[in-house]
Amino acid sequence: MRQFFNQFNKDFKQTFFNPVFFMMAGLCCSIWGFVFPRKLFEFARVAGVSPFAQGGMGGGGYNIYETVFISHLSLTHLLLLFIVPIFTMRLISEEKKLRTFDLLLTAPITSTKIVLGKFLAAYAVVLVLVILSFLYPIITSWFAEFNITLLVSAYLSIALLMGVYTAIGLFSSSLSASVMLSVFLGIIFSVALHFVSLGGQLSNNPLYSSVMEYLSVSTHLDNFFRGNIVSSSVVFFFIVIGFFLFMTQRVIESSRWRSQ
Amino acid sequence: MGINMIEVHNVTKKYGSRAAVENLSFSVKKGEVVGFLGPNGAGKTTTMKIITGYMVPTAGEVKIADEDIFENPIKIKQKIGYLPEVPPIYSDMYVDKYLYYVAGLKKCPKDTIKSQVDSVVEKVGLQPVRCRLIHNISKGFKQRTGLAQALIGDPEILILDEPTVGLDPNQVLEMRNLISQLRGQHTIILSTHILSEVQATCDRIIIIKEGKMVTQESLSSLREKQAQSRRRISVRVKNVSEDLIQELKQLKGIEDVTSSPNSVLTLSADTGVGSDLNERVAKVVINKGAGLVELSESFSLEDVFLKLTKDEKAEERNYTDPV
Repeated sequence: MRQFFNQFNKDFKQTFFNPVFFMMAGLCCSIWGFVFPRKLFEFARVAGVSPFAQGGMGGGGYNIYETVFISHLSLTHLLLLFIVPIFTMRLISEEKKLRTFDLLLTAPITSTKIVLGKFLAAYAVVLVLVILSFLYPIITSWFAEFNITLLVSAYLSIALLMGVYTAIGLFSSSLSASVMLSVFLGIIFSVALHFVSLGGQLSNNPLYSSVMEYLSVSTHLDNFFRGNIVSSSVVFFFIVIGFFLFMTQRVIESSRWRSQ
Repeated sequence: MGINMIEVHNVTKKYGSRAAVENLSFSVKKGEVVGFLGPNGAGKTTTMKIITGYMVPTAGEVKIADEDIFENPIKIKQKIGYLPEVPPIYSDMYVDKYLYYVAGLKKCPKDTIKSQVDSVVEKVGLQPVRCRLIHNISKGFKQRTGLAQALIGDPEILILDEPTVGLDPNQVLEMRNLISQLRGQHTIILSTHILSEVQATCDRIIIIKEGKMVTQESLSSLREKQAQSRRRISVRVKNVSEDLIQELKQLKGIEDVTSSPNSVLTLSADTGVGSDLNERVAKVVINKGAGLVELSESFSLEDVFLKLTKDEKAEERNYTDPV
């Protein structure tokens, strides 16, 4: 446990106290800061009310959650899809490049602990960004009324999805000693995850299409976005995270017997 | 003393079809300092990585203190400190913080971590850079940080892969002194291709070539063997003349004289020529008025090494270090 925490501590500090993190956080905040108020005012204009004068639930079927927050969430998702691999890129590939990997492999520590320590360190850094993004709708709640549980449920799904991206990023990082390659692979794998289930609905085989539906990320995200925290969806995210962490652990172990 | 600390039995490691190490067996006794020699690509690093438990050999077994390293790797790795060719340091960490991290990684008991780090820092002389970023310290200090890393946890065995490579002569000397200081406290395997280093620090040498054992002998017995086969005298003079060389060649027992551009003549001689050979050589040089600066007779490990490992193929082969 202490070894795991030691590893976590080191990797968290290396990722968090890094100019890259602050650049990315600054970039995200400026994009959110530019887009969010504009969406909010547009909503207020269309709904015919000022968000400062009355409650957030405007008339005419307009809903602050669907028009403002969902778009803020998809923007957050889009940004993080590219940023998470940037945070995870160094975790293993740089250790390989700088040969510090030798230290890890000859130290009395299991590769499972290495992987878990690194994963949670990167995940903690990613969650800082998710929390930053969460601040925007939360601040809105000071002058607008809306159903906050819906928002929390939606953010929970984003947090879980980021866990998946972090695990994918860690896996891509373990594949090569090139930092750039691991970023690209991370982005490609993350995007590909959304297309795995494509075409599942077209099949006549009910088993096939139901399996494909379960594998579809958007099905699970929809549940959360509608405020249903379904256990099978939570399990789905944990399975995908576990799968990629397991793969990473296998890749690390493989360097004990592979030729190159 | 006397107990085998490291036992390597018939270890073979293949990269694809090429064997980096083939059927290698040797053992190292507790407290011994062993020099591991070989040309580049001979399999030194691979063998060391196998002993540290970094890699699994294709065949054979490795025992550390009578325990198979692959049966209980975590426990055995605690007994080994390893300094790879490239010191495994994070340039964005402070020296101090890095050593604390390594101590945590090596499972040092929590209450001893601070004293461990303090004593290691003192031992390798890192005090001046303790609170500096690793990125900003000199190469010599980086190498020492690497050695400090290996020493943390007070391992019984130290495995040092080319610890002096790339250092300036002063730093090489310091590193060598450091290693000599560690003698007696640890069992040390030291790989290098700098032969004077081995002469200065090791009890015994193991020479491998193309993954196979060539010889393993104590330094003194090698020295004896060398003395039996040939004598080598080097003479430094102020002005070399063809005349002088001819005259030296005619001395009894001298087999060959070679001159190098910096006015050093190297004489090889039969062993049976008697102990007054040096005097006779000196006399000739002085009589010729060549200006004798230095005359020495040396045991050179280089000769042994060259004789044992000479192979044109090995030089041509492009060696890539496995990661």
